[in-house]
Amino acid sequence: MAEQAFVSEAVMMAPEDVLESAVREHARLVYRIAYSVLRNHHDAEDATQETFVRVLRYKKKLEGVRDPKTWLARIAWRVAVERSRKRPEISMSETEAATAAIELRSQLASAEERTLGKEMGELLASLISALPGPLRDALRLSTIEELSPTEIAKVLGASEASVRSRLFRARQILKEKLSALEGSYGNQR
Amino acid sequence: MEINDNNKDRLDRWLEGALQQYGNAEPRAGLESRILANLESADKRASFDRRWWWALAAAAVMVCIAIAIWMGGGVNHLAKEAVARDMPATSSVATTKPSKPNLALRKVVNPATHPARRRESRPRIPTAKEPRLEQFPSARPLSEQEQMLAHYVRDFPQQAVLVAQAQAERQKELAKLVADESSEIGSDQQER
Repeated sequence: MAEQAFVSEAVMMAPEDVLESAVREHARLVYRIAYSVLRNHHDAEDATQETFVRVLRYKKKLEGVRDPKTWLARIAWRVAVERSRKRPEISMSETEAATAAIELRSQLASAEERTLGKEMGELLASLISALPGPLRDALRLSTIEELSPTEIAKVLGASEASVRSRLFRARQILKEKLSALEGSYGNQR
Repeated sequence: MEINDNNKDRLDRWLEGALQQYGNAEPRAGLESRILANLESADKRASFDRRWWWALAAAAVMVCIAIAIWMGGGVNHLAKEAVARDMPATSSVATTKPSKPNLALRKVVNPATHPARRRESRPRIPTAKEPRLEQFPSARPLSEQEQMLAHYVRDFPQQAVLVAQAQAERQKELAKLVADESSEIGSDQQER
């Protein structure tokens, strides 16, 4: 993918305008990265604001940034991870897990695609949180449609092959866990 | 076996869809405007803070300069006082040795480092004023004979007065004789 600077060399813009265009272009991506880690709209928005406030410090150097999308994604990722460390881990009670497993079984039984309910979302989030760090990070970023594996690799500072391998491993583990859950709670209905 | 594969496919599809939904969170409407407004206020706050820092730095520099000036003035004043204090002593021995300026003060007010104030920092020697003594010529300790005389006068005042009167009369007589002799010599010369 060709890297795109904030501003093309032909157009000279004021630092404020460069920043504004970055906000308009990448705010949604930054928000999604934050949300994938924090799983809370309020916290995700706060992290998005903080990300751009950090970018503000480099206001005069923005024009020199070669790959702004990845650069912003990396800042957003760091901000979100820092914030997530200050919060307690997502965990589900036994009852919630049982409810989620029953719903999972019913969803798997029907052919039609359904939206992820609250319990199912929490179940998936807790399963992802329980993954080993490198696998979890790669999987969280892979759920954001705007980011390609190459960009994920740049954000995480790893090779693309490593990211692909991590994603494969993460999905395997998730499937095993979901299958076990379906088997243990699903028959209770 | 076929049922198992079917289950795996369904789990795969479900997981794919679930992960897609997991990541596709939509922010509340107007996120960009809120971010821009926040950035604007953060920028203003930062520039305000920067101005404050400059103002504080400038104030600190001014205070330092004021203290330096005050200290310099104080040292000059001290130097003048010290010189004035030293002067009477040096004037009395001026004939023997020229007075040396205080070395400690010279260290504090170094003319090389303060060329602008070189003239001021040089200790000025005021012109020596005439000594205003209560007694002129200055009192000197009594000689041995004078001391003996003072003792005699203190112990025998009446006799001392008599002796003094006798001496005075004797001196008058001597003066008279000298005057007579000189007049006689004058008349003899005229006669010749």
